[in-house]
Amino acid sequence: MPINNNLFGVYKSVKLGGREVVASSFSRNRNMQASSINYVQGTPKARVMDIGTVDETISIEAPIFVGAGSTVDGRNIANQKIREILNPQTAVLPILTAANFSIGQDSSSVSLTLESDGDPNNTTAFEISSSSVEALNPLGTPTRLAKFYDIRVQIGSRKYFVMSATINVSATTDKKYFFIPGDWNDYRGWGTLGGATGYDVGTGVGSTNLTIRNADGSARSGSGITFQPGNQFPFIGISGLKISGNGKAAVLLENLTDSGGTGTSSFLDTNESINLSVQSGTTDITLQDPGVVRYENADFRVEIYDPIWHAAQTAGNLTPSAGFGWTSLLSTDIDTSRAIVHTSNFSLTPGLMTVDFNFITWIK
Amino acid sequence: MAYPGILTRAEFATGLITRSVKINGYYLLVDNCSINQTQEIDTDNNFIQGGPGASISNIQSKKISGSLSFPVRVNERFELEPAIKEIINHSQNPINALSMDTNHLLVHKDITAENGGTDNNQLLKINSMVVSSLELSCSQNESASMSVNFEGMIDSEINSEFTVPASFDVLGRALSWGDCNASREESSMRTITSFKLTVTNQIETPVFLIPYQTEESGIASTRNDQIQLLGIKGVKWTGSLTELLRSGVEQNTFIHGGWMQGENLTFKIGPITAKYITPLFKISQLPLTSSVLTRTTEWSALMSPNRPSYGNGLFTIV
Repeated sequence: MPINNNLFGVYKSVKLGGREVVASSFSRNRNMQASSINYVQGTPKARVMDIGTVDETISIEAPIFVGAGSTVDGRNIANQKIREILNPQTAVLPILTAANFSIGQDSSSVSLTLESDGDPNNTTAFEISSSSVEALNPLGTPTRLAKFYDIRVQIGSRKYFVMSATINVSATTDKKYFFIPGDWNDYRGWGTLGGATGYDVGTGVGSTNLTIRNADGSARSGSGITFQPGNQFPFIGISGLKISGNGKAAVLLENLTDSGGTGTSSFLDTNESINLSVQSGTTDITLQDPGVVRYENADFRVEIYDPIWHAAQTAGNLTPSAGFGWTSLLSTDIDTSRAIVHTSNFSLTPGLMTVDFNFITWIK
Repeated sequence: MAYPGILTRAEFATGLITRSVKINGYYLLVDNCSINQTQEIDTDNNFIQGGPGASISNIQSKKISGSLSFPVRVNERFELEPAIKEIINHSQNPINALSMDTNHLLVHKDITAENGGTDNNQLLKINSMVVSSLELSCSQNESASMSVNFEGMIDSEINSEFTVPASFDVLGRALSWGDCNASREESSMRTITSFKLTVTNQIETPVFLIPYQTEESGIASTRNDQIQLLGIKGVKWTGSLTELLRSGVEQNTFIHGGWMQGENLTFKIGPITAKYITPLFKISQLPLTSSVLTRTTEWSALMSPNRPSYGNGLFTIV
């Protein structure tokens, strides 16, 4: 029987925008809008096609690693793409539209959705090769999956007995298409001049880019000065960024005192409940008052333990505010310390009592 | 490096040399102690990584898990071994953890992923153990014995305390069938040939993400890969017995299932008394064989929801 391992994805590695990423799955989806249209044309047969724009989306399910593999994991690529959104001059395709950090007791991962322009000349947005990922070589620093003992949390007042959390980073993108500039008389379309095959082409199909020039004809400086008109690929702009999420925590109810004649088995006194507010005057969600903005008293924090960071702090005798050896799970370019909790769903079963909560953060 | 053979005149470790265990500070002679630190440690290569090699570690939480089996012994004053009392009372009233000292069980309390291999081994007291199941059995051919399964963790780093017990403490004998008695309201149960009494505590061992603490607050975010809590979710007291039949059927002692209020199904094993006040019986099973006919009956105890929160619910010890 022949052996042919070329059919299996484990032998492949992937780069996104030039950055190596280890993932459990990738998918790259290209779609060109196309449909047939019937007019008053004397036959029901499809004689006219409506061929529109091209979309390209890339989806990734990638783990969060501790060790050398943390340079090629889902958290690393997600934070790189978040930084690019905040600094568009550094952005390269594909661009982030959603990153969902799933933090659990047994495993943590990041699910990303990215967009590219679908241009086949763009070979760096999604590269696949047979190179082994060198960061996973254990002769450097071995890699392991991040576990509950690597991540610490403070989500509003909830920091004890938190079982899982999901942080959703959502970017809004806008796609625009423009007419061909009037003074551009170069070739249209994409592909190699005269070399395109496999589809119907006309004379003069080419791939020359257009460079924007100043009124005096000098080359314009800045970003986006070169583009390729006359194709179906969009201009992608970033128009929004928001961070929200949810979590699950165990609820602790313990009768410590018996005051106010509430009976010995009630949990209505101070400190008798954790992660659930049953005491009169306390609340599970961030209620607002007239004329002021209320946010959770405790800063929103989700941090991962970084042994390299810890070693650097030890060597430098540093006392960083983020904590010794702990670094934010999200990009440090964004400050999400202000948050509100807007959902609290208490679930009482014979097993662990739990509360599911949803939050949303301001982004500074 | 030791030469791999008898020429080294090696003294191979045995249970006789390494001695037994202590439960809550009381010495216990055991037939077998198989309690160890356990942790799921494996590799995961289900990634797109440029090759099929297992390069990523997957290290889960760790805990103490295992079992003890031992004869049920009394001393010359017919007093039950104190360690057995501790185990029995804890199993039926699991509100405080048991501790165990050994001089054979090395453990590692720090994070496995950061202290690989042989680093930082310790001989520690296992100071949070819970009985997940206990079986007390006796038959006409065997002495009374107990088999106990445990789950647990190391709550704090305390060196295992293992002073050799006074020889007086290990003098005694195992209880036998002659020390046992059984009865219930509707039968004196004179034909019973064996019984098993079982306590099953359904245990959950959750782990949580680490709470955020700043160093400035004076409380460190302590990282540890052990389970973080032991919770008891359910308690069942069950049992089974076998009886010889003197005729083909015994119409008035056959149990066709269901509860029997005030039946007081009672077993006495030396100084131990087990009483199932309201047993919920399964239907007795009687296979027809060429040998003596033996009927097997199983049951569960019905009890108030909070009965395991108080002592002496099933067992009492004089």
